[in-house]
Amino acid sequence: MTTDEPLLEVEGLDVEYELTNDVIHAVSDASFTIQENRYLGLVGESGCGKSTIAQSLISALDSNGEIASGTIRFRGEEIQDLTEAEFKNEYLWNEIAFIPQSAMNSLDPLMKVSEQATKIAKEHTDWSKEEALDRFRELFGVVGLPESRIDDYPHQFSGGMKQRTIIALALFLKPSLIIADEPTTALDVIMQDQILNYLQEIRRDRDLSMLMITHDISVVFENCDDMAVMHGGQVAETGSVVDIYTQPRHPYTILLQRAFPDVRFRDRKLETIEGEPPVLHEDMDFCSFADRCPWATPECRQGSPPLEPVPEGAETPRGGGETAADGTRVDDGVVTHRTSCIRQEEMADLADAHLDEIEAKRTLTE
Amino acid sequence: MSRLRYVAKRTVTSILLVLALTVVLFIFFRTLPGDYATMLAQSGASTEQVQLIREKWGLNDPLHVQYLRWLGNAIVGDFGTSRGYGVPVTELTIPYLLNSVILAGPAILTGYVLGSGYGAMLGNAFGSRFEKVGILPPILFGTIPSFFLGIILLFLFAGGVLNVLPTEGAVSTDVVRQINHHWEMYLTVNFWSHYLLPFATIVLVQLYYPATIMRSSIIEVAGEEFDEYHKITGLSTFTRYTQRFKHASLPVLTILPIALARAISGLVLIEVVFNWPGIGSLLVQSVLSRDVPVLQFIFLLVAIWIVAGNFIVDILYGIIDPRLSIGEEAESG
Amino acid sequence: MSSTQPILEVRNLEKTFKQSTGILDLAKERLGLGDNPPIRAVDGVDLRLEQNQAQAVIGESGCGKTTLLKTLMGLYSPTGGDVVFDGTNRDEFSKADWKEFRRRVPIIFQDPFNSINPTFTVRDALLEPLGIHDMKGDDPEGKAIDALEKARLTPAETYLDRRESELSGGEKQRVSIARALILDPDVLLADEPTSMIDVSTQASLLNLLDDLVEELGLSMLYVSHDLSTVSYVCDRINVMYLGRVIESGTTDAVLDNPKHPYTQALIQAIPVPDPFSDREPTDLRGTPSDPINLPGGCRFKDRCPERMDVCDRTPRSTETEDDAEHTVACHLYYDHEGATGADGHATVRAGNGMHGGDDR
Repeated sequence: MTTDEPLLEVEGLDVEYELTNDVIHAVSDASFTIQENRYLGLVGESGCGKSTIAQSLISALDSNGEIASGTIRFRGEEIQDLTEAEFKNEYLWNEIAFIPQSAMNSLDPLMKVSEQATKIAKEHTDWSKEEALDRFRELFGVVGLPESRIDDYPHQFSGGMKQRTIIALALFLKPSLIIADEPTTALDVIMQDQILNYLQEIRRDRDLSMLMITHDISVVFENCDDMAVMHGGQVAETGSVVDIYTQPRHPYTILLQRAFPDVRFRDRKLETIEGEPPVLHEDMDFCSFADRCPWATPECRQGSPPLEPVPEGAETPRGGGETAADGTRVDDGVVTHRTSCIRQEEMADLADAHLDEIEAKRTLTE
Repeated sequence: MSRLRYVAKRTVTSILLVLALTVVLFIFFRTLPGDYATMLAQSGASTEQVQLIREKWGLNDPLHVQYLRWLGNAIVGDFGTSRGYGVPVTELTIPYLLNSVILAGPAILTGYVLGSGYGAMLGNAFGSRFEKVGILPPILFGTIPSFFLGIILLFLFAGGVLNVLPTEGAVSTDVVRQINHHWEMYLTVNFWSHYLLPFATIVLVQLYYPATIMRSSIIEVAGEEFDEYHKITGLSTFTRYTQRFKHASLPVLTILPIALARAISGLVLIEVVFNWPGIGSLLVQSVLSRDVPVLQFIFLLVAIWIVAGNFIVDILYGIIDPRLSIGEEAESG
Repeated sequence: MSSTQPILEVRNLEKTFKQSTGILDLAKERLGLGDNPPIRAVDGVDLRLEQNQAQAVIGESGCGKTTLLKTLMGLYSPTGGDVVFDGTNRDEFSKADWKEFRRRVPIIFQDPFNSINPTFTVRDALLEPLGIHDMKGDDPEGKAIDALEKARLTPAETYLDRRESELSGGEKQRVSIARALILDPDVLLADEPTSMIDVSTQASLLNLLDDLVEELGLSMLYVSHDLSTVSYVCDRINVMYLGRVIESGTTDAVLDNPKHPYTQALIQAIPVPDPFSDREPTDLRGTPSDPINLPGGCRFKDRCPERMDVCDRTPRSTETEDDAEHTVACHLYYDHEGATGADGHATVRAGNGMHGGDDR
């Protein structure tokens, strides 16, 4: 059951970094929402602003970064202007937890992993040490780690075990939202699969939303309910994973999908996207993808493109009604499909061609 | 391997090292220019008397036999007789040794602790004006020659400016007459007033290494991912800084043996400046008078001092950093 | 099999590392009390790289592929086995032969951000190898431009004066490629060349590598952990696990019809960019065993879903029934009949193994 009020709502977010002679507009006018009990994948390449968004959500921006404008609402309350201390008292870790990018190096080598847990408990709760350890043992069980090893040091664990410890620590205070920053990038593919499995396991018996930040769209398609695609600090497209897969409307989304290798279709030629991600020195009051877009018009460079809803197609999303092994795939209309491309209607035709391509491949393998 | 095994391993290695050093020292002294027997004899001894000395002390035996004899004696604490004073070497050196240890031990430790603390403050304040300027005093004190610093302090406090403290020695001569045993000296206020200036000199000199290294060490640790993670999980500044300190102290500990070694050479100079009756003064004296048995013993003490310093650091490392003492275990599941 | 000689051949290559070397350990060794088994990072690897062929070495971290690459580069000396380059065994190399080898077998590194000297301009970076090998000739700059064009960095002249900080990741990688090409090499050793490149630019880099093999007649040894991209460049795949090649075959054969349970798991684990995919998550648990205390026999046996008693004996590499070029080192595919010294176990049925290999 999903409520109407989103768990996390980001609206018109602008984040800037001040350098000695320069200002980097890392995020421009970004908007997306995360519903209760849904996983959202935030996808983009290097420099698109996804990590910056993650940091601003937990008040962890570098000292030269600041939220220039926009709002972040958690359960309806605005949190973007909170001081570090205020955020820490009310939200940090007990409502919003974080799985950092290089999770394996995030465990303090001089501390037993149980100590990390007890220190967190001491900081945020009034649990006794026993209570904290009990809870931590419980979580070790959830992530498939032997409970007897909570007093080990990080170097005694393998990479995958460390990753799971970090997941256990994220769950420690029963947060409603976990932000996972590239949770599997540094891992081998088999371990990645295991960890992603655990990230789905922890949804069971628990109300949990996740913001999964990654550059790998296959991870998003397989593990998330909703997604937001970012380029050059701007949100190109948001919506449910099904919507975006079947009806991509932003040129970047369309091309990105075509640039991604799919091990099932090895003969397919991979698309290149011209140019490089932009450097963001200026106020981004134009579409950041315009220089790389094969369908750009002069209008694309006039004015920051607004996120507009995509009108529902006449046909139902293809494959709608199917469920994947790990959760709902049906687009139940909870999340609106929006894109910031001003030519989205024309993109529809292009996207249809893209969709036909996919259908064709599907029939090949069946 | 467990921590216990780590300690045992280190102990064995250290003892072996000291033994190896004794061999080196022994060979070194026996092969000094100038015949050993002649050195033992008084000047003006005749050839027959020198021969007798050779017989008496077994200097005609092969070197390794002599060494084993020496080692045998050493184990029971007999290091020979001082040529200059005519008393057993150990009896002679112990008081001097005590004076030095009482001075140098606490002074080096204090300097190290204060230096580390100060360096940590600087590191955590990285980028601020305090940090940019604050590194200068330790550099200043650390690079001025220690004897010069001693002289400045003497000038300021015991001479020209403030005539508050005594100028030399460990204790005034009138007090010496009053005490019966050497160690009673340490109980007098007089001794401690003499103690103050050389102590302060050593502390100031010793600030430098730990301060600079701790500072850069903390700066390095502050950028690490686990430090970030502590911040993200919302741990208090105090907890975070404590963890940083633990990590950062590892390199600082590593140089402790170097600081100790450096302290020995500095100690000689300081004892000369303050006329402090310690092992440094004795060393200078013995070199001048070619008192070989005493010299050998002092050299051995210095060697043990350094090996012990390394050993203690290794043990501390093992306590602080579990990665060294607790081995890695294979994953199970 | 081609009748011409392979350009690079590796026979039963071994590279082992000793563990700690403290005083006590040395003493223990001398007294024969040593219990410090060496780490067998590469343990009996065979490869034949033909001319004009691109082969992939695939494996996860710890499988030994990096050690293999470093040994091929010459950074490590093998502790066993042979490396034969263009017919000559490397053991017989003179100093001059080694220099030639380095010219003819350059390497492209994984990290574009750390492979080029930051104080160099692109010109400097390209001319440096020419200088080392006395290949400057009359027109070194012309050679540099030529190499940049081959690496598809155009207009080449505009790149010559740029520094590393002025180049994107993809461009840096192309400079590394140009730097290798300028020496007119025979074999390119590539260490995960696209793993740190954005997806949007990855494709053109893969296409470039593929074209280099075709158009310039190069050979390539492509080391990677990413099975999704190798098919764009490589004709053959060798899968490594804990120091051994456990499967080898053409790209299509291995990807469509993986025989070894590990290869099957590896392919199974690759995520698919399709929300409707019915890919089953991998069943494989745990991680590769500690390379220090490896049990005897097949190194995958502790995780293998098909484990049998006979797996305590090390499997040889055998050809599969339908494809002589597709080899796999697994007891499931052995003809165990007539095996001498078998400890009382009946023969294992030979054949294609238990999986059809087509379903995903």
